[in-house]
Amino acid sequence: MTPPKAHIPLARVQQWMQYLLLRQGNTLQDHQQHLVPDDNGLLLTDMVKDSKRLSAREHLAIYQRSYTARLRDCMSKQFSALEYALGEDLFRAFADEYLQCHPSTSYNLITLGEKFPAWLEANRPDKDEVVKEDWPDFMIELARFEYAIHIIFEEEAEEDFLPATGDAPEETLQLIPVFHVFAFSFPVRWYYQAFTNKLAPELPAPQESYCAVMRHQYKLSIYDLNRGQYLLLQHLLSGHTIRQAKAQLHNQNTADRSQLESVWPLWKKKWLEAGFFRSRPAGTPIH
Amino acid sequence: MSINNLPDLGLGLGLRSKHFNHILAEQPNVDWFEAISENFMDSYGRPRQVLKQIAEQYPIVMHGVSLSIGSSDPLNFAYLKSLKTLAKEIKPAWISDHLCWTGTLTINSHDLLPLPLNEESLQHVCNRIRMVQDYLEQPLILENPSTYLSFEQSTMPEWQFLAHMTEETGCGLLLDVNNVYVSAFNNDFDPVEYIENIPHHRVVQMHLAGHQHCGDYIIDTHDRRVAGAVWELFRLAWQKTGGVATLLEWDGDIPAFDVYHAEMLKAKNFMSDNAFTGLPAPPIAEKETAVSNPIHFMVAELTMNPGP
Ligand SMILES: [Fe+2]
Repeated sequence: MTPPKAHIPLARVQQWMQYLLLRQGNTLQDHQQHLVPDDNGLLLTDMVKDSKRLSAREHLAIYQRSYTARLRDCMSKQFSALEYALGEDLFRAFADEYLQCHPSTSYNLITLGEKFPAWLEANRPDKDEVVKEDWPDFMIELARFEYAIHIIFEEEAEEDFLPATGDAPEETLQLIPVFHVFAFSFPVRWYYQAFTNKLAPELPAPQESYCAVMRHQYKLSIYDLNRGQYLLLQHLLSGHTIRQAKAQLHNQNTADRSQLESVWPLWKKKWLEAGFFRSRPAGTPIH
Repeated sequence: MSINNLPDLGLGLGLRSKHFNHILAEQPNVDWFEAISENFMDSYGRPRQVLKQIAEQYPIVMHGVSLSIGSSDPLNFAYLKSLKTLAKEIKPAWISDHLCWTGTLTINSHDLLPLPLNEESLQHVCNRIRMVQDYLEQPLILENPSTYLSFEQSTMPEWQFLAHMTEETGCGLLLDVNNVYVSAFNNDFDPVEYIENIPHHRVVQMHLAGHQHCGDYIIDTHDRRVAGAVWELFRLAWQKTGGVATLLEWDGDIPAFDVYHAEMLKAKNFMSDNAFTGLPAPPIAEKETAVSNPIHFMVAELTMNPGP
């Protein structure tokens, strides 16, 4: 019988093992030498037993493979349209590098990709070039949108309300609790839904686009907007009444008030049908 | 606060988003459901709403993967608070997690990592179980994880660690029979000896699941039917414990609800008095690699209206 190895405190065992899970790329040589840096030369064979069939190294490798595969898989589920747009190999390279820079610190996997859009922005392949390419901008916008969709799906909000109907007085209309607007320099909404509907979209050319994402009865809906609609809804989201929002839009737009007034009834009708609004009981303040 | 009063819930199934609509519409004749706590804790969208509806009709057990009872980091009370809030809402029959650690130095690996099994880790785990039980105001039920390595620093077998742990803290055990089989193969111990020696009166629940045999090791994949040898171990565990609430885990390649339910009901064939006569030989190994401890908790499936 071999004598038991010297006791190593639990915290040190865990730091050692975690280091080898997280820093796999950097420690290939350390593995070969069975050495772990920053840990006073602990030998792999001081820590992990060989078994009948596997060496200590092979035992540890099962955990290393699974760590990477599991988190990659989560990233690809959270950014599935982006993965399609980038192609699997490039997506995987980005995701792996991102996870090295930002290992998860939350028990909740939904936030795993929180910093991914910003990381893509900071690490775009043309970051040192004077003339930037288009496609990284598209990828970053798509990543932001996909992450936002997942957060909106889970966000805490009142769901127990009836959408406003056409006979509700205009001054009582307010946006429903889960309502967000987006502005893009690419047709991101179109691409996202074409991908979701398995239509294999091609990379799009730059083109300004706007959309709203809302949730009612726990179901998400996405609507296309034009720039004026986007701006008006932004004012409503910041707490203005419809009258105030229209005045704001008028001030920032070159469009004259009569033009806005002529399209407003149509917008209002479509948005009521789409369930953008609920009716605030008379006398309640907007905030 | 004792595990003695916990009910025998019968044969249950894991609650998976793929089956939400089926369960709500058909109200299948299933004894109970096990919900992965983290899938619902901080979610205020459809999954939590569905869970609330299902909890009105079926007994629920909350099964967690992030408590990290063995970590050398301090206990995460933000996590425990969210867990307790969900428990107040759902009123589970009990709350379970794993004997493992998921990370240290504030990092989360999202894996169920193995502990060195010795006096130090035993006392560490017991202290933390007491704190968690005090905070949750109910007994904690801990599961033996599937493991893929053994530490040189281990001084006792896992069954002995579990026996001391339950004795000292009054916590219950979730005996995952498949994990016993997987860990035994990977770490050269005898699964029958393990089942015979765990404290049977402490077992509140059992898990069954499918695994992938990779030749030199076995991966706990939860993506297929239960192996013959695991059913035989279950027969032994059923006899030793006198029968407890049992659940079939299925997390990858999840089949239609009826197929999943039928696989669970096979457990009835192994509850008879037929003596346990040993384990059958394992099937031919598959060489492809697999991911251990499948994430039974995941990015939610979105429910979306058709686009514009
Ligand atoms: Fe299990």
